[in-house]
Amino acid sequence: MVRVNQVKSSFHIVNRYQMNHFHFIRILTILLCISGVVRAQGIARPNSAGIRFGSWSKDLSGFRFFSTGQEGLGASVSTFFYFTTHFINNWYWEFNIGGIGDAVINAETEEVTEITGFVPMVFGLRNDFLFHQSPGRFQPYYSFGLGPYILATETNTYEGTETETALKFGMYGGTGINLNFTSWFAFNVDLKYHFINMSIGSPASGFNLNFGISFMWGKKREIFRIRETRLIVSDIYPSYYYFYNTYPLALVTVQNTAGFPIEVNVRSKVSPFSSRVKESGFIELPEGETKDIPVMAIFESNITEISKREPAVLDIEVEGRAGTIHTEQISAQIMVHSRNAWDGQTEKLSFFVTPDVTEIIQFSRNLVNTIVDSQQIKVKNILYAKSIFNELSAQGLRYQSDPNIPFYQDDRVQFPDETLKMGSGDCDDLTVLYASLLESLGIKTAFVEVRDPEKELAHLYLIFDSGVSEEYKHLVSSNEKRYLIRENHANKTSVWIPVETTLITRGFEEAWKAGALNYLQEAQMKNGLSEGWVQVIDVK
Amino acid sequence: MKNLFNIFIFISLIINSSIALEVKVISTSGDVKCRFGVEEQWSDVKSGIILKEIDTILTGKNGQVTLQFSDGTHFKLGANAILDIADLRKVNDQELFLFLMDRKVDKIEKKEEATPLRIGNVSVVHGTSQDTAQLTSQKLELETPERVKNGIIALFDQEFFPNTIMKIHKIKDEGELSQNCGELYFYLGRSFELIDHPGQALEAYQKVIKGNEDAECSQTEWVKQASTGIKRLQEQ
Repeated sequence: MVRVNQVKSSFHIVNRYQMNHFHFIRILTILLCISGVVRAQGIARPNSAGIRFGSWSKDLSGFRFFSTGQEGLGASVSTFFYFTTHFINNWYWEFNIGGIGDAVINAETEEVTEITGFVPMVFGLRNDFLFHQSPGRFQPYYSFGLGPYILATETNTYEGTETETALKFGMYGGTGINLNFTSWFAFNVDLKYHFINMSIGSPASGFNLNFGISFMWGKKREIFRIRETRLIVSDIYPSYYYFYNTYPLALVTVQNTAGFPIEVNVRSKVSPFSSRVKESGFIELPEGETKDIPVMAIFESNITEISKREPAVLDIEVEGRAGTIHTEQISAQIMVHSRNAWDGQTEKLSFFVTPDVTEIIQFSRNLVNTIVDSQQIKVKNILYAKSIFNELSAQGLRYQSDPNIPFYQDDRVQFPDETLKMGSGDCDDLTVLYASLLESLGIKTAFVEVRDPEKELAHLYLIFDSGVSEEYKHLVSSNEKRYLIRENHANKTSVWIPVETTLITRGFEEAWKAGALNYLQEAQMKNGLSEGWVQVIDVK
Repeated sequence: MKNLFNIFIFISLIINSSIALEVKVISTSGDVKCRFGVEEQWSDVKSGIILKEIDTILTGKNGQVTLQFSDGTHFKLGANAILDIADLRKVNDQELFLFLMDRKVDKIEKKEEATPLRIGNVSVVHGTSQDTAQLTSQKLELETPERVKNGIIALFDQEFFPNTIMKIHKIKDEGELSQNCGELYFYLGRSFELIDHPGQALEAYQKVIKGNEDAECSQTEWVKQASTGIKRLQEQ
């Protein structure tokens, strides 16, 4: 062992191969620059194995591979095989087995005079402490562990060869950097201090600097898990396509499994009906927490040109980031219906009401421009409504049931300009047309939906705001059964008139009476409103 | 169990409400008119005609009418009264309970004073030959608070107590209850008392007294009767 000590002292001999502080810092800087340029791509896989080569020194200033000195030529090299496997969060188990060799060569005879070797077989833990903060593939770590060290010294003298072996226990602590070039290959720099015989003062203890390569395998380590994907909207109705821009099509339940806070972004699009990707934006997901993230989509207006049902795919990409990035893709099939399809929900019927379409505005304004009577200003809405209804009647607009389409469960609703062109429609078509015309004059309207449990088919008609306040209700009718009083958002009450739009051929007066009678009997006397099978839904 | 109870109530309400009420006019005297459904006009009533739930009947100062239900029982409406036929529909306890609950849930403070009627601009919007001024004056002439009150008293006198309560509540919703020095509140309290709802009866009696204090009514008959009612309830 004395000889070993002497050999080690030769490490301090200055020579041209010596790796000093300057070289060490320069290499580290180059590695950092490379890692900064290369953007993050993969995420550590759970398993890796690699090989490292390097040198050994008593302290950081004395690394050298080859040297010449007073005692002859010297060499100090190390080779390690290592294996790591993921333990928990940022922690990995690691096992290192290698050889650290130190040789002294006689300069004159060029014969090896002494070889000192260590064979560490150490088992420990590694922590990628910047795993969720590191901006790229650059992944620093620290590690520690313990295990047996086999020490062997072979001394060649004139008298012969003398070999000494000893088994020592020791431990190590160190740090290092992985530079991931791909998700399966990395470059590695590793610096460890080995406390052989569990002692700093031990003559064999010292630093070991190595450079190596790693090969990774196994499923990329996930930082989140998609627990569930719930499709909220499986049927897309083009008439209310912009409604979906703010309404989630699905909910993705994402759980943070990283063991540290991450950010999650959900991207989605419906192929082939949305050309742009909708992003949820990065949402913070604290350690261990689960969140429902809404999935939305941006539909282009050309979706309204679809004339028949077509299948589509909702593509969802969930991206989690915490220094490194992890993405997962899922997709679901949805159905895009025809432009005239309606899912039967009366509140959605508002999307067919188009008071701003040129044909509608022209129709209503041409009519009301002829009604000029300041004396009747309080009931002008009723006069407008009457005039429009009677004009539609005069133009021969009539009730016509929807066509029977086999295997087609949707109701079909015509847009107002289509009903005007076709000259006919069923209850929802006529109601939508009349609502559009009244709304184009600024008259508020609401649908009355009747789903009488005693009748098979649902029915729809319209009520509109006469603009007459409750105080003046007697101006509208002497019979209170002909209207209803409704409160607006400003807590002001006004008189609303029911109109049975299917009676288009019989004129406004008959349609009003029928509407009032329907409302009286169904909503009030048969308790339809309180039982919920009669609903009044404002057109918005 | 609770769900079953709710289903039972729902079914019973549907059955009850789905039976359309019809009454036959079996005798009239004096001025008796009716208005069919949502029509504007009042028509003279003759014996033998059938009135439906959506119709309204009205008697003049010298008028009187007797109505017959399908089960053969009679209802008499005295002079100067107005009544919706729907108000004669038999109301059971469950329906009354739901009606009152519904009002509690949707309770919106209504103004207690009667809305002053004003005659506005003349308009013709119904396609009829009668203008709004005429209709309004007809309404003022025919649908007076006195007639409405007499209709309610007719319900009370003939022991249609749940109907009396519901009708008074509807009037209350329209803010037309405080014009009679608490008289209708008294009928409300008495009806509640007679169907064994002492809490609500007490509340209504107390409103009679309070209403008289606020309105400074000179008539004290209803106050006396309400005080007697309160005493009677407190002794029970």
